[in-house]
Amino acid sequence: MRLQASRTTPYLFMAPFILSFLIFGAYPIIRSLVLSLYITSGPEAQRFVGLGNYLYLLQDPDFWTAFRNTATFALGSVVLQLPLSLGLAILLNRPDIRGRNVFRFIFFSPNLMGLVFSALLFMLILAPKFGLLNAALHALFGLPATTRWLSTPGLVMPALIMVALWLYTGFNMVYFLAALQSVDTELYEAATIDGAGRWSQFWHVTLPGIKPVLIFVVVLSTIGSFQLFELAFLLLGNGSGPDQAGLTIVMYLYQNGFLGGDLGYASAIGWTLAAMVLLLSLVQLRITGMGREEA
Amino acid sequence: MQAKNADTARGPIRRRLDDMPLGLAPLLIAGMGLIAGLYLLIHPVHRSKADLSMWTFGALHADAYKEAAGRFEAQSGQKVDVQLINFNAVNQKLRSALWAAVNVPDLVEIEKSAAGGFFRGPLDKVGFLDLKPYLERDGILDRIPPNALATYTDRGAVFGVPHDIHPVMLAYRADIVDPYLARRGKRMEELATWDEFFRELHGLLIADQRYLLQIEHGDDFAFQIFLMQRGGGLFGPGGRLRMDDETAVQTMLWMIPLVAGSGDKQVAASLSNWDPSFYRGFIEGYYVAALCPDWRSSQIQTFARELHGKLRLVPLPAPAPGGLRTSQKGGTMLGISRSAEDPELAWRFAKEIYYGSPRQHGQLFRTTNILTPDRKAWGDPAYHEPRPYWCNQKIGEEYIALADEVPPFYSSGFLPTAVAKLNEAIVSCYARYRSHGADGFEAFVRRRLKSSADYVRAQMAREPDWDAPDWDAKEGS
Repeated sequence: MRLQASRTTPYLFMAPFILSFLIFGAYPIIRSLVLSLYITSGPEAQRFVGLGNYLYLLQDPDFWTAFRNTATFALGSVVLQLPLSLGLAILLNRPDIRGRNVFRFIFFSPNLMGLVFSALLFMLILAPKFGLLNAALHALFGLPATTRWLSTPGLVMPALIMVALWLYTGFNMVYFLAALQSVDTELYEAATIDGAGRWSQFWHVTLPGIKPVLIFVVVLSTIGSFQLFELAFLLLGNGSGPDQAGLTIVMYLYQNGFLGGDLGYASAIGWTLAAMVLLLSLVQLRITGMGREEA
Repeated sequence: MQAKNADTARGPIRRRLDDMPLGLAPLLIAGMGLIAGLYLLIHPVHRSKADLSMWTFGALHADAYKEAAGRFEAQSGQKVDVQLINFNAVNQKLRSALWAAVNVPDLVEIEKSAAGGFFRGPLDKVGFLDLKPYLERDGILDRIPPNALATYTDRGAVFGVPHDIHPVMLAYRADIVDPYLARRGKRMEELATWDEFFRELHGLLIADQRYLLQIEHGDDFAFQIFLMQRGGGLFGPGGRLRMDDETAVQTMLWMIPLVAGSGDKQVAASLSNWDPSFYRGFIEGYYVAALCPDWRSSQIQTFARELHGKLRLVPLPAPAPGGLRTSQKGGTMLGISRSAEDPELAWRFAKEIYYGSPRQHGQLFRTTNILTPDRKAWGDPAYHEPRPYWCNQKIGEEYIALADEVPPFYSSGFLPTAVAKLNEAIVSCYARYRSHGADGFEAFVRRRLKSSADYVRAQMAREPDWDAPDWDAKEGS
């Protein structure tokens, strides 16, 4: 009897979560999948189109614009942000750096400010003629002070990547710091005895030691980048910017679902995004050999 | 022995807790859940017991409506709950409420650009009531300018009443422009066309330092104002797309060289339409004039305090002699939801706040400079007061004088798409003119606008004919 009770107890404890998940998680997910097979205009106006939304999506130039922008942002974020985060983490992991806790806090602090405030701040920093960045670039390199970062198509994405860099470099640094502190120091001692230099130690000791965290951060950053919405939306004045240069996949979803009113097409965009992110994550795990190790 | 001692030392409660099947944590979680549940039972989520609920996104609107609600409650004995909801959130919240058919407000204010999205679908399933019978019955139609309802009219039904009409004027730096024109024996009011405006003010132009007009080429703000001034629009009556018609082509051919011309051919520039750069540019004299719908005049007052007593408003110069001296930009509607329990009561409150007290409209005008479409309210003293900020101009009278000329704006569920595609076309045309000048520009503009319009048409073509007799609601579900 007691054995029976102990078997059911975990399920009882899990029941609130499972119930909540079924109602608030699984049902909306399934409903949105069904919805993606309809053209909709309000709850009482739906027309079944099968895979029509998906087929239309594949030939929708705006979707591909959004995809290109999002992929550029993701690539820019991962390629620039993660090495910078790792570099900072290595630097601030050194015991000989004075006030390293203060520096850690400073680099992490942009994350505490919130996206809305950060966006407002950067609207001012990036402002043409009177903004801080233009003033600095003009003073240092003689570049024109009227550079319109947020209203020149070619500069919108670099500006977004720059803001994201400021926001998230410190955040990812914390992950790397934790990973670095878990690397066995004896391995470094052994490597030093074997005559390994700093670069060799980094390559053969540090990187393998933090590999699981590194992969986790890469995957998480990619997923986060593909979900870019608020930052671009706020910085570009509640829109997609000039020439749709700041249009991201989630913003396109929002435009279709919440401004245009077709939640069916918006659901199709959402599912396509989910499939893309899943595929990308699997590719990343495959390339990094994470799955094989666990197997 | 040691273990037994330790066991005894734990005490009976601790022993029982440790003997729990999965340890202490699940018990704690369950306990917290129980406490939270009990708290919610004792303090349930506040549910409005009002007879009418209303959502608005304007803080100043909300203040005025709450005051009106007090009067309305005293008269009718019905309680009104006015809720202030963030500008962006109101659309999502309303859409979610309509989908779920839960907590749908009786009345709601939404912005013009989002309105069309709510009018899609079968006519009898649109979330808003057709207010045309109410407007006709109560003689309101005669009290508002003729074009004010066009935005919220779809397939003959009026789904919203306009909060405003937003005539556009030209705000200019009187401290710079007036003395200059005076030396030439001219006055700003005499510059009746855009050609005259740019010709007469050309001497004020200093490349990279001072331009004659603020025109942003990164979005559609100025283009749409010019387009409507010329009688065009993105959509026509019945939601017909016309963003690539001859008027749009001619507007683009006229506007782009103003901002993309080389040397002193560039007479207009911008730093931004929306962020603080716009005001800073005006303050620093980077441009001496800006397009100014009534709502923008109050924003300029708020964010460019340094320009107190330095700005004036004049009607827009016309595209051609005898042409329209104003345009239209922005707008808010009030709709009554189809699910309102007492539509008549909701309409009475709508009338109270939109067509009720002239004093209330006057107060709102003092703080927002937004002109109500209700002619009856225009007699309130607030519309006839000199404003020191605007060189003591009676700006209420200035905007009222243009109200009947405000061109119609036709909405559509595809408006956001059309605006996005128009923006692309504007940016492309700007880049093209910058690189190639006038050479082949007209052909490029026609091609570019058509390709943008074709994209929108393709999306519109997907839309089922919801009102077709064979349409089956929730087909397939």
